[in-house]
Amino acid sequence: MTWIALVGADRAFKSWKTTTAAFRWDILSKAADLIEARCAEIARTLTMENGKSLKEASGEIQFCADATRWYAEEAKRAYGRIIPAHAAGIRQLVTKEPVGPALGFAAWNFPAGNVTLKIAAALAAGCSIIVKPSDETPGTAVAIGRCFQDAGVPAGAVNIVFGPPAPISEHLIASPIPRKVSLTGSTPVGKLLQRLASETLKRCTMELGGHAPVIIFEDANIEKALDVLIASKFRNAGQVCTSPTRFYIHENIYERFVAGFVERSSKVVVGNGLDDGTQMGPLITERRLDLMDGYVKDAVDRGAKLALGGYRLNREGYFYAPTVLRDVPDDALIMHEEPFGPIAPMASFSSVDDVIARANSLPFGLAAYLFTTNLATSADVGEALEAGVVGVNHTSVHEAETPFGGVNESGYGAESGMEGLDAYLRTKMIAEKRA
Amino acid sequence: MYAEKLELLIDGVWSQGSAGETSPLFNPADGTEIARVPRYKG
Repeated sequence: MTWIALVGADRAFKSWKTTTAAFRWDILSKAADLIEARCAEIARTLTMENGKSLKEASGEIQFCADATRWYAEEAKRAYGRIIPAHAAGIRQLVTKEPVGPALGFAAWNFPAGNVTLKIAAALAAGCSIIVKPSDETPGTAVAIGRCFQDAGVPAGAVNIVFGPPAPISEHLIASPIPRKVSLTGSTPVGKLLQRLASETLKRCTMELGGHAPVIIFEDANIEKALDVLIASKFRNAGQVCTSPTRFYIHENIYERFVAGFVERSSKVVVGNGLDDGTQMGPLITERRLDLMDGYVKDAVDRGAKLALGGYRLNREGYFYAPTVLRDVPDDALIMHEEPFGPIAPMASFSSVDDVIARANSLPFGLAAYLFTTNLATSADVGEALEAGVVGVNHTSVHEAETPFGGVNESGYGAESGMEGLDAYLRTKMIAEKRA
Repeated sequence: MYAEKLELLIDGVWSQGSAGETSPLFNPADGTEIARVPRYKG
């Protein structure tokens, strides 16, 4: 059976790929304007589905507008090149062309950003796309989709479907029509979709889970590091693939840093994301509360000390207290599994070689952070860390214009940046000889 | 109040999907069901 979304995407691709970059720029620019104009209403929907604060949701929607504008411009720069020929009378042209209809599988933690990056990049490159957003955050995806459609995207160029992930992904990926799969999701799901895509040799972009180490060196500006890391740790209640999740602190500043982190974490305002002043909302599902309890219990059983929190809040909804674990041993579950929650596990280190080895000890490699005032430390450790993105003295590692993606079991390929557009393009060499 | 009308977008048409099947959508801030999500079945 060929599903109608596939037929529509296939037909739309055949005409959309022939449009000029200037035409696509115009439509994407209008979509960006609509996203910006509808920011307040989309943000409210996002907060009601995901739980993050309205401030965070609004920032995510603004990112969507910025990224769509950036891709609108980048559509004009899908440059090829001319290669000097080895014989007279020949021209060797290298061109970029859209890869084909694409499939985008998006996550719930950035339901607007995920969907927008996939749609905008595909359309900019000249591809059509079928998006399968998370069923936990459908309204946000619908609202973003309406912006693109209202901007003039032709029928079939953008499709949005919901439902059980397994049968939908199996049907869509098995079809020969799509030529590209882009996933933002977990590492196990990435491995599954890659296996499915291998049957028809579809190109993939895999933006998967991480477990970001954050290394605080002895010479770090501790107060500034605390400001940055408190905001980053509890952003979206820790449900961020680049969230700092393994804190390694030099032994000479360990007590001071932990005390400062606990003190500031205790002041994080937890509540309904729609309420004024809320800094951290609930987790996405009730099941995640059980996982948080499990991580805390396991760490304490193995010798860690609970410095703050460690419990679900006694109220309606899926709220978990900002939690700090100290003296966490390397064999604790939370030092191996991405917690995706508001827990900060902390441990000390004494030597640079030791902390790099521990930071690189997992199969993941998405984000990593270091805090130092020493340029040599920044350069040496930044190069040594196994990660797709590294933040030095800050954690803002994903912008519209910068490539974002992981290495090793955090995936491959990139979204955003010129690499994000290239992910939806293929290369063709045309050798012309005068007849 | 949750205001978004949940529909599938297929080949330029917004619709409720196949066979009327839906799944619940919960607000994580209070655990209440706020909408039903339509399903795509080809």
